[in-house]
Amino acid sequence: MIEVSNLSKSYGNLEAIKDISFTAEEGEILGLLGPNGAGKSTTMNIITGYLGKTSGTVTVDGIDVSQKPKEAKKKIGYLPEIPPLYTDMTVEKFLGFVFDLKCVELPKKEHIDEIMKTAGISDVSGRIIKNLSKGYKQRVGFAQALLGYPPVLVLDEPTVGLDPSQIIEFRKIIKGLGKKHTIIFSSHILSEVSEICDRIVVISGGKVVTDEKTSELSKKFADSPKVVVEIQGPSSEVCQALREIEGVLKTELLSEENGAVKIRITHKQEKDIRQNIFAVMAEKNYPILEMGKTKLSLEELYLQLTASSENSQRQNTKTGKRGKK
Amino acid sequence: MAAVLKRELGSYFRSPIGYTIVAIFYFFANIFFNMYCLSYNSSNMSSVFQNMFLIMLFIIPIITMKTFSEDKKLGTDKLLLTSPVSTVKIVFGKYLSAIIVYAICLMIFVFQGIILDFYTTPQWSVILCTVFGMLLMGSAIISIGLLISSLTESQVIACVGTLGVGFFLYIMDVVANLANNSAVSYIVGVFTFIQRFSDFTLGILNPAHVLYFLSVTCLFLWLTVKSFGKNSRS
Repeated sequence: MIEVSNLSKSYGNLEAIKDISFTAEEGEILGLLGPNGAGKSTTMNIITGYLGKTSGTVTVDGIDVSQKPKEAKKKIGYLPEIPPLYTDMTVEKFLGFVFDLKCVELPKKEHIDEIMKTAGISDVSGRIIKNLSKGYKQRVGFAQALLGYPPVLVLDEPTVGLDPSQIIEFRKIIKGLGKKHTIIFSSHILSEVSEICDRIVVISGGKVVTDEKTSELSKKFADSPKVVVEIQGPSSEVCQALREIEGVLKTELLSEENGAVKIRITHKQEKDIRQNIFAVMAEKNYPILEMGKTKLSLEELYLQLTASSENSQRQNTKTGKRGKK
Repeated sequence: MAAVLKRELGSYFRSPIGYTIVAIFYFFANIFFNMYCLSYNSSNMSSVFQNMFLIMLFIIPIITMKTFSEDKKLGTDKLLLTSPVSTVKIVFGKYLSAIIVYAICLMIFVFQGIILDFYTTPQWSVILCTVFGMLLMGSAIISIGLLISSLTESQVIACVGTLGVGFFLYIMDVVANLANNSAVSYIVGVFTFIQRFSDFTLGILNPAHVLYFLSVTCLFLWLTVKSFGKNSRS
């Protein structure tokens, strides 16, 4: 459905993105993940035809965005990072304007009502956008992107600025839409992306670092499982006792507070060592306050993936600065 | 294009901007009309027009300042540029909306002519020719204003910039006279707005002037199209 190949964009000497390639199949939710300034927005701006590219191609449903922009743009609904809203209009009037602008061929009133229902803004339809809260503005921006039900939705950090319950609701909506639409979704929050998306593309320093199915990505990095425990007792002795348990590879002291220590334990894959930890600590009379498996591996993976390219980027900018002097 | 035109026109009259522009224009037009026509018992409106030239230079930047810079500020340029509407149509829609607001301003002269018509027979040919001239010249300055607005996201800069260009056009002829240099006078004679406009106020409809103002409009609208869509070109 969406094919991005060897996409590059540079502003003068600054390369915003370098040689980015990925594809999203029909009905797939693709997560673009990366730290701030990684090039997610630039990539999305190019896909939607807002920005021109330096080299490479983007095709949407077989249509080249730069060759036939009008046809390609008809297939895309775009929610930029800052929702593009005419704040002096009412929600309904604004959606009416976007409806006309996008030349949607559906019954106008019914369609707008339906979209407002989906985005949960029916109750504010008569209000001027300027007076809406950030969350509602975000939803109006989302409704605007959804108008005409374009086959492709490009959403740039759509959950930023929403409160937790709104975020959960929003994710649900996106998941529901993913059945009918191809969605590109950007975020710098990993848990969000791994929850919603079928495929994750990690971008850092303007390059694709990883491009994999979410299930495979988690599988790949589940090979060194970890347990985090909080135990009442002196840190050195507790650590010592833990290390003696069979299957434990590594212990890391995370924090020490009020005589309780928080330790992350890395262990071998095949075994669940929690029972052993309990038995050992009970024997030594160190009460366990908290114990749980962690899902941190994905977060760490993300940090690892992005850190390496960030370092190289920092070095580049340093040399760039020197070059300027 | 109709959608953009409708929204832009709406934006002038949803806020006080449109009403303020028209009210100020009408206020000064009527002051001059009172001074030069009603109190002198004259049916000659040329003095009114000459004085309104300056007011026009003030009003047009206010009409055009927000056309593109507001979009850049709000981020709605992304909405426009990612919609399946060509840049030409977007620019033309915005241009038409500005022209319509400006034309509403110029309507006052027709009403003033009707008032004169109650007492005497005004020179309708001169009045209509001048209004047409003002519309053409206004259209040229509006297109310049659109270009300046598309270059910045600050409405203040857009306004002051257009104002500056307008005043340059206004004093250009004076400077040329002072310079007393044949080359300068020749160049100013080609590009002058005022000298061309004064022909309209005499009731002369010179096709060369009409063509000149239309060409300037087209040139600057084309530049605006290029400027507004510059990021999306590869």
